[in-house]
Amino acid sequence: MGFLLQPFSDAETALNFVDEFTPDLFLLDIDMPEMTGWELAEALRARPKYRATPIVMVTGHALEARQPVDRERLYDAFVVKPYSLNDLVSRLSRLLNVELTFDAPSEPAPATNGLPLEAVRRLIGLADIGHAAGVRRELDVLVRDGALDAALRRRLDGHLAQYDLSSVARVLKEIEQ
Amino acid sequence: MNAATDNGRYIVLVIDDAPETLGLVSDALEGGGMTVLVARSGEEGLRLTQRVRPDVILLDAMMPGMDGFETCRRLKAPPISESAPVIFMTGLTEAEHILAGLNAGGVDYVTKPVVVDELIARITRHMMNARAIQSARAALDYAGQMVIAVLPDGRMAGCPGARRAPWV
Repeated sequence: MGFLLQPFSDAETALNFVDEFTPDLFLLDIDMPEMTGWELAEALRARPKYRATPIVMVTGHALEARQPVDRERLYDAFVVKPYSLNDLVSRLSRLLNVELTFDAPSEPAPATNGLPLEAVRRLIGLADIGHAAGVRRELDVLVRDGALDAALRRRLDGHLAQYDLSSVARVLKEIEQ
Repeated sequence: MNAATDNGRYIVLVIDDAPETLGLVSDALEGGGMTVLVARSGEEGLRLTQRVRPDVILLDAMMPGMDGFETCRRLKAPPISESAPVIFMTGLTEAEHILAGLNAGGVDYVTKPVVVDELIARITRHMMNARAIQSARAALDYAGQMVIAVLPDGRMAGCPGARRAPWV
């Protein structure tokens, strides 16, 4: 599968076309000449049919990433450049509620080296009830004991940072197999 | 009882699609001695309530997919019939959201950006109210059969077609 893309290089042109078709998601750069990404988002939200359509804002300024609390109703996710393509695609698919499938395994099989099965099961239990702090504490213990390898830790930390505990549980269930 | 699963701490379920908000709110509540469970969508939140019984639910009003109002309606309706109070988190000055939240079964709302102390105070108040109601309900469940209420005219109250008490 894939996404069908309709790129526009400025906000005004995009705005002229959004009445003719209905995208499932908008990916907007904030820094555009003339009309900015925020203004475009505002204009989209003003249209009834786009009130709830996911909007992802993209910025090149790391400092902006913490600013837009007051604009929360305008966007659903915030991406700072440079971003990883994998991360972007997985965030988009989460917003769209679609599951990604890959032709070939894109992620290397996780190494379980020495991770005790009971610890994995405990972690799955915590992730399944959305207990982020509990998962973090368990992981800290495993790291301290040297039981968690770096690649797996990075993967879990990445999902944890997004509070995406479904993905944490999924990764751990792969290991449990 | 509810929070007994985790050393008697209060359990707060936070449902919000923005990881930034989840981070801010859960850090604050964990700091306040509560156990925080998180869900990134309404669907995920509904799934979680099948596994845990939170004491209170913090619910973002605007989420992609199933929004907070629909999530709340489903939480409160059978088969889930969630008894935990739901507090909505909404953007500033969105009066219609506040109304929609209360109509969907929410007990209260806080506006974003969230003021931590106020949030904790509201959560605590609603959890205590909910617990008081719950212990009253539990007492009735346990002792209900032994309670007889008699109306002034001698009929027993509480059952349809109440009969006159035999000793009147």
